[in-house]
Amino acid sequence: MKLRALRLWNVRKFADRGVALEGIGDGVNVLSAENEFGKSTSFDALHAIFFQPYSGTPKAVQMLRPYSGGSPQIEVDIETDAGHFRINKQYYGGRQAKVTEIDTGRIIAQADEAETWVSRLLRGGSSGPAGLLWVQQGATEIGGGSKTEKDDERKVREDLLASVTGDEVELLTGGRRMVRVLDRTQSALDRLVTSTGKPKTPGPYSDALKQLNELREEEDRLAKQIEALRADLDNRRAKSARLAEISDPSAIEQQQSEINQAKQHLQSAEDHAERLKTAEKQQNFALEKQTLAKQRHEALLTQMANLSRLTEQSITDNQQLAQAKEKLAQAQTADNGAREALERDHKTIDEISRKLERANLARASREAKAKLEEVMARLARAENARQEMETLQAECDALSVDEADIEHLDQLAKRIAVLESSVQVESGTLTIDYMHADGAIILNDGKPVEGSRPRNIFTTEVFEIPDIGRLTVTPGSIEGADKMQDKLRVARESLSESLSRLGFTSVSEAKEQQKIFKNKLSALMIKKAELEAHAPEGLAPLRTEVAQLEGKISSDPVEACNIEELEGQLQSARLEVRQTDSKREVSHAALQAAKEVYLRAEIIHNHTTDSLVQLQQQLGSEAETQAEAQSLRAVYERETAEARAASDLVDKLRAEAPDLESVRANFSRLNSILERSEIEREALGKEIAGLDGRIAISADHAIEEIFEQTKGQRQAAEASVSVFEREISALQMLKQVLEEARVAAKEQFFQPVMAELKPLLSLLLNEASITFDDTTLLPQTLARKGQDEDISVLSGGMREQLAILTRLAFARLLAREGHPVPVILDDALVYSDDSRIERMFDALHRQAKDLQIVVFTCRQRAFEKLGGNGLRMIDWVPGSQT
Amino acid sequence: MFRFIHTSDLHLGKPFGQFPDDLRGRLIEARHQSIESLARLAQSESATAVLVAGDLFDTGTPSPAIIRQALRVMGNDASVKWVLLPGNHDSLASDELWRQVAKDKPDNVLLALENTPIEMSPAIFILPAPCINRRPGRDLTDWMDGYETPENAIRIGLAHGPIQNFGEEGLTDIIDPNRAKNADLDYLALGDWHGQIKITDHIWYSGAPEPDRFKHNAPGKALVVSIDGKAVQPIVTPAETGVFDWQISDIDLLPGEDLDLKLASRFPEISKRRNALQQVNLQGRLRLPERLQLEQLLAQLHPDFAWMDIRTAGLANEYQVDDLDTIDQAGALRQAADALFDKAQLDNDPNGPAATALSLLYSFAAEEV
Repeated sequence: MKLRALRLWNVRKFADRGVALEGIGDGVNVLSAENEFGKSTSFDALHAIFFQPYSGTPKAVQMLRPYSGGSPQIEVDIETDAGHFRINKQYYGGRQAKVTEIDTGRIIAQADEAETWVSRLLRGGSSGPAGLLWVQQGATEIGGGSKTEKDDERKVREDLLASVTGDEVELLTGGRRMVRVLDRTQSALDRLVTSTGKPKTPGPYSDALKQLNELREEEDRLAKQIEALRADLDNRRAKSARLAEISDPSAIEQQQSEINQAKQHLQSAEDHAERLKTAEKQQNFALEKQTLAKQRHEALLTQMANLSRLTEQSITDNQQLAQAKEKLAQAQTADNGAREALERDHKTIDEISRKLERANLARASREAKAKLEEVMARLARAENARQEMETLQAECDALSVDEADIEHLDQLAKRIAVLESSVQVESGTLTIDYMHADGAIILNDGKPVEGSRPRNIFTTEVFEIPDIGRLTVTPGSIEGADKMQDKLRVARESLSESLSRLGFTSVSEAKEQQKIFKNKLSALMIKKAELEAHAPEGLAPLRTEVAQLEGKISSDPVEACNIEELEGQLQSARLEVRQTDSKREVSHAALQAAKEVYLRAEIIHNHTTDSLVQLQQQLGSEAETQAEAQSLRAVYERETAEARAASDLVDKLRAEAPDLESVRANFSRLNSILERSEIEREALGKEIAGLDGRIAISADHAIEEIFEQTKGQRQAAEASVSVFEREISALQMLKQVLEEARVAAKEQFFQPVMAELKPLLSLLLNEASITFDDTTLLPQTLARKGQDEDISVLSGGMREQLAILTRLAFARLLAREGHPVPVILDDALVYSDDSRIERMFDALHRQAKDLQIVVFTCRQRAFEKLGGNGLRMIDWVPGSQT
Repeated sequence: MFRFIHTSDLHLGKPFGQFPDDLRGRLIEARHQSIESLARLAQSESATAVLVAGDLFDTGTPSPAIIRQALRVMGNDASVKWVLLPGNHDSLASDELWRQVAKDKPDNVLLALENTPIEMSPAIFILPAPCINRRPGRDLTDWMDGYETPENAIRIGLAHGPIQNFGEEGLTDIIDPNRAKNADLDYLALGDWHGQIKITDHIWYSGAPEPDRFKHNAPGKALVVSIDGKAVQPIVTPAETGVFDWQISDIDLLPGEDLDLKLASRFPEISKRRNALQQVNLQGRLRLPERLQLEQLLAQLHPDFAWMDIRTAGLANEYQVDDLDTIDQAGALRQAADALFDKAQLDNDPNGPAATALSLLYSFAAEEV
């Protein structure tokens, strides 16, 4: 079906007037006009003529009526495969419906038949495809509206898709049965596992797993206890066997018997050892006695030998003493001679020395004398210089004037001169140029006035001028001169005071004195230098030198002699003395040696004599000595025999002695074995008692029974878990297979609309795709850039665009099925931006190849780019068209 | 004549941990009751002794109550002597156990703790070979060969362990099968094998009086042995003593069978089911609906039994189009069913995830049909 014209009379704002849209063509038709132009009125009227019965006044019809009332009339020209037709409806008063064949003007149907005709045309009324494809202003969502509208539209979509695919969606996807089976599967899974496949807690599978784990742990714990129990049993068995072994009475008795025997052996060994010890003591005693006897005998023999020796020695000593004495006398004689010769030589030396000394003294005296004269002359000059120095020093001291004082006086004088000059300048001057014939002199204050030189007048002065009289000069008040006068006065007073302090009357005197002082001082310096030249070290050394030189001068008359000759004699004499002295030393040493020899011989002789006497006293007579010697010998022999016998006994006992340590060790070992057995028996008894306790506890607890029971339970739990796991595996597989089948069926069902929608979508978005909900048969998600987005969360513009594209896709399907229906868009794309809107225009034009699309819009500027056939609303009067 | 009861492997104190608490308690009690059964058997058969050939206790450390209560029952009839031989589970290594038994036993209980004959009477000697530990690794009966008893005295060997090429735990090469002959034994009473079995005319395993596993698929039994005299062949009569019946049911199934009838024919009558433990090995193949039906049937039967262990490793699924149509004839559900079918065929594991998933899909889809 295609629209060709729409005409309205007395519809809404067009009260008592008519408007028409003529020349609606194929493809895209655009009525672009401002708001309130009547676009929506046109849409509502178009919708009403197709979907609102003429006889009714539902709200949609009421909304068509103008405020002023009246009967709205709507007319539309359509084109179908059967021809061109005009549908006309009037509502309210004079309501009617009519379908006319335009070409022939023949009325095809009227009233209800006309409604039927229209309904058949649209296949199902408002819920027919047109309901899907007519987008009212603001109703951009696809799938909106009341529940009835939603259901109706869904039915339309389903019918459409089913007619295209040849199968209803439920048949393909399994419909409610699939949903129920899936739910059943899911609930069976949910009972066992979570969505991530983990055991659901609480739940039978997780309970089974938990129980299995607990049983495993318990089994392990019991196994360890059983292992410990068995170890205890084995341990107790071993210990009991050991205890029985070491508790055997016969064995114990045997041990005791061995110990007793060992003890006897030990006792015997100890007794033997004691005897041996005694024998050894006796042996030692005998040996000591033997030794003592031997010592005494030998001592006596030694004494006797000594006596004999001493006697011989005495004789020898006497001889030696006599020889030593003779030698001593000889040495003495030689030494005496040597000593006398030496004395003589020394005397000679002394004599020569004395001569030489006298000669030297004489020479020294002469030299001293010469020196003395020179020194004394120097001393005199030095003395003189010193005296002059003292005089000059005294003068300088008296004339000494401080340079600073002189300078001060000089400055004062200069200042006074300057001041006087200034005064003169400042003060008045008087020059008297008078010559008396008589030569009388002018007097000033009784003092003659000299010459005719100008003189300053500072104060009143009176001049007596002979023959003239008295001249009184008063200078008047000269301020500067007064000041100068004051200063001058002060200066003069100062100078006067200084001179007085220094003891001068004038500055020149002071200077003169200074000059004299300087001269004196200079002379003093000269004298000082002179003194130093004569006596650089002072006068005292000179005086001392004089005294020394005087001391050297001798009054002894000295014989003239040759000092060198005397010195030669002295040297020869000394050489001689040395030789003599050497000889003396030799003889003296010989004498000392002889003395020593003699002394030694004497000592030895005395010692020998003393020893001999002492020994003779000790030993007594020879007969007595012999008898004593024999007696001691006999004792010695006896003691020797006794010692031998004692040693023989010791040897015998030693040979027979058992190894006491070994016997003792054996006894100790046997004792220790017995003690250890007792300790071990006691320890074993305690350990076995402990093991008995532990084993009894385990036995009371029937631990092996419980282990077997737990083991059985664990096996049962494992079987139960296996069953669950098989069940879960099967359910998961079933779920997966069902979902895959369902998805495949959906894809198959929606393939036709997807095929239409895909190119349209690509105009808008790159690599995007849509999935449909197989329940609502509406777009469900948009997939782009690898992410799925639910339609409901997309932006308003996006939803608006998808809704229109979906309608266009369905419209194409209808067209392919041979039932084209125009797509009417009333102010659609209100949320779309400029870029998208152009793409949507492209989509509209793309679909307009097969479809008629009518667009109402108030966005004149934006929709300029849509192009298409522009519609204009013109005035119309019913019946005026042909 | 010497008439006695030959038994072994009571395993008193066995915990049966793999079973639920209520059944476990019943099984444990049944073991204790087996002593009374043996005592009654001895009385009814006029036996003067009960020879227990080892493993009276399940572990070396049973609880004092287990020990005491067993000995009390044994002591109830002083005219019947009980000869207790340590087996591999309650060997001599558990000296605390035997010390306690020796301390608490009544006078009519004799302990065979050494390789020393026990004189039952001047003409009847028991030659015991007590287990010294869990795995002796040698023939403990070899001492019997050389031991002399009075002439014409009846010699009865009492031992525990596997006979050559024949053992409970797969051990071999232990007791010489010629021992009875070599040691001139009139009878060799053996324990260790829980099933009753005759080795020779003179050598028997008595089996356990109360079963404790599915292995032997037989009720608990003991042996009544009569020996009239030296060298006279013993008369050995089995006697049932057990309470619980441990059964293995191998059920082969094919599609189209009446499952209800099949199961009914394989299981004991209702009155006996309470004391029956069933290990059900399902084999063969079933269609999905039949499998579902079988599961439902077994679920209904399960509470009748003391225990039912259903093993389906050998039961494969047979898939037909109708079965898959039940899930759905077309659409995603059918596609899912087809995909699982293909996977199950590929896995070739009737209990694999694909086969199980397909069964689940069938059952879920069938829930609303």
